[in-house]
Amino acid sequence: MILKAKNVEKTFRKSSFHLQIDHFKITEGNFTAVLGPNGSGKSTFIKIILDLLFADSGQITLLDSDHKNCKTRTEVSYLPEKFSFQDNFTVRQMLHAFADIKPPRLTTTDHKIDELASAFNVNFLDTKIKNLSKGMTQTTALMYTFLADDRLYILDEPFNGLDAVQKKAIMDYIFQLKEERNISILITTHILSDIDKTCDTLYLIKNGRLVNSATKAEIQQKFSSVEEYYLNHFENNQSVIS
Amino acid sequence: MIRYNLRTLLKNKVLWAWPIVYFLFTLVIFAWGDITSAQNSYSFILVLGGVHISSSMFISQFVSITTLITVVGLPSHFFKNLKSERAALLLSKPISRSDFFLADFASVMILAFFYTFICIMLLAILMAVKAAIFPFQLFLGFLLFLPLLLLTYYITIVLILILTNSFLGAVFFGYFLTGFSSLFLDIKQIFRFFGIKSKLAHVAITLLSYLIPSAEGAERILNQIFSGGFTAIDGSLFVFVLVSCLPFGLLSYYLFLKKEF
Repeated sequence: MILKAKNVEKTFRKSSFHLQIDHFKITEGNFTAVLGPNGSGKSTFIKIILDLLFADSGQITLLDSDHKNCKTRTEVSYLPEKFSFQDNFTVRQMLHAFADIKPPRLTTTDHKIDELASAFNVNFLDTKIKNLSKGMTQTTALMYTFLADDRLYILDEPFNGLDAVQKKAIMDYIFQLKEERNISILITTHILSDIDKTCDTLYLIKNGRLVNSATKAEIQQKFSSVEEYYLNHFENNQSVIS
Repeated sequence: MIRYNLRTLLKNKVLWAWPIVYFLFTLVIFAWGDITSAQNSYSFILVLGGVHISSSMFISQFVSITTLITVVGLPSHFFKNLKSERAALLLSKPISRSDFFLADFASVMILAFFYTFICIMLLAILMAVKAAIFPFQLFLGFLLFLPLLLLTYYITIVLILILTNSFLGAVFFGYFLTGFSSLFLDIKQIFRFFGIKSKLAHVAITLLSYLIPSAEGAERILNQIFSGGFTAIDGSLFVFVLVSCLPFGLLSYYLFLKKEF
């Protein structure tokens, strides 16, 4: 089991937002998406998994250990929706700086950077981060995410600001990793076309609660697309899944 | 994490001003000035354009400039690391909040020693060439106690950064609060000046003196070394400076462990 969350609760007193995840799991090699409108609790849940936010109660097991143990993150990479790199670093320098904290496990940092640059069509490795466009910065962030050879990648709105060609290059790389190393992915997005036909499992979240989950086979059986599945649940009032 | 911090700190252009100021000073004295040594090796006089500057004045000016540069430059990386956009990148790696916090202080101290060492080398070359002196204890005092002085300011600034997330507020308030600690070293005089006789006030202010990192204490130790070498250090003052760093340091550590990003 890659990730298992049970009865996780978190209340923000200021906004009175309440997150309650009764049951959530990701198995080895699974591509899981959490879908929901803005402010539904997707990023909050991810931050709790990574111990950036503290849950009020509940149990989370990450790679067979308690998620609060920082060693569990040895094989987990996270791309937050909002991130901030060192502006005065070049892309290469920034990647080397983060590789100081967690280097690639299977190859050298330089080799991995070259591999990612080639896969993501990046020709701005020696450009300072402050001079990058939005799409370039997002691609850089994805390079940062895939720098270490991990088992679980958590991607929060990973395709913000990317064009179709770049999105395809990144998805191709993800599928290559999945084939080579059977990686697991947890992705959140509100752009449904990004994950159409790619996810093995989908969870729908609304107002801090998981309202439905389905496998790819179930969606293909009942709906024509992920979008239809999504609209079907959010346009109707659905009960919370147990 | 220490290497990551050091990469960031070494790219900090504000901090570059520290060795650059010393370098420019060395160049100026080489070109236009002179140094004459007094009878003992701790004292010297700088001569520049007919102006005579005593070693104590020179040292106090340089300590002040260094403090000013570092108070502005040193905390900027910690401030950025505290933002949730950066903290999420760092704390999602296999490092604990404890590692994150302690590595930051370790990195800052390594950098402070490194830049102090560069400055000492420049001064050593200057004094050897111009006055044929090598005041070893002065240099060693600089190397050991200038970073300690900077640490007293940094601890206060870090605490305020964690509490407020405001860089400017932390720098200004930290600078003045740590500077304010100088009052506590002359408590008896202050009591006499204000005519305070209450025992409770005595106890309260004495306790307060141990709460705020004592920059003035570290500065006085530096002056003691410059005037009489290491044997002149007041041991109780040294312990007081170290102890005064603990409350704010430990409180920052505790608050950081509880901080959500």
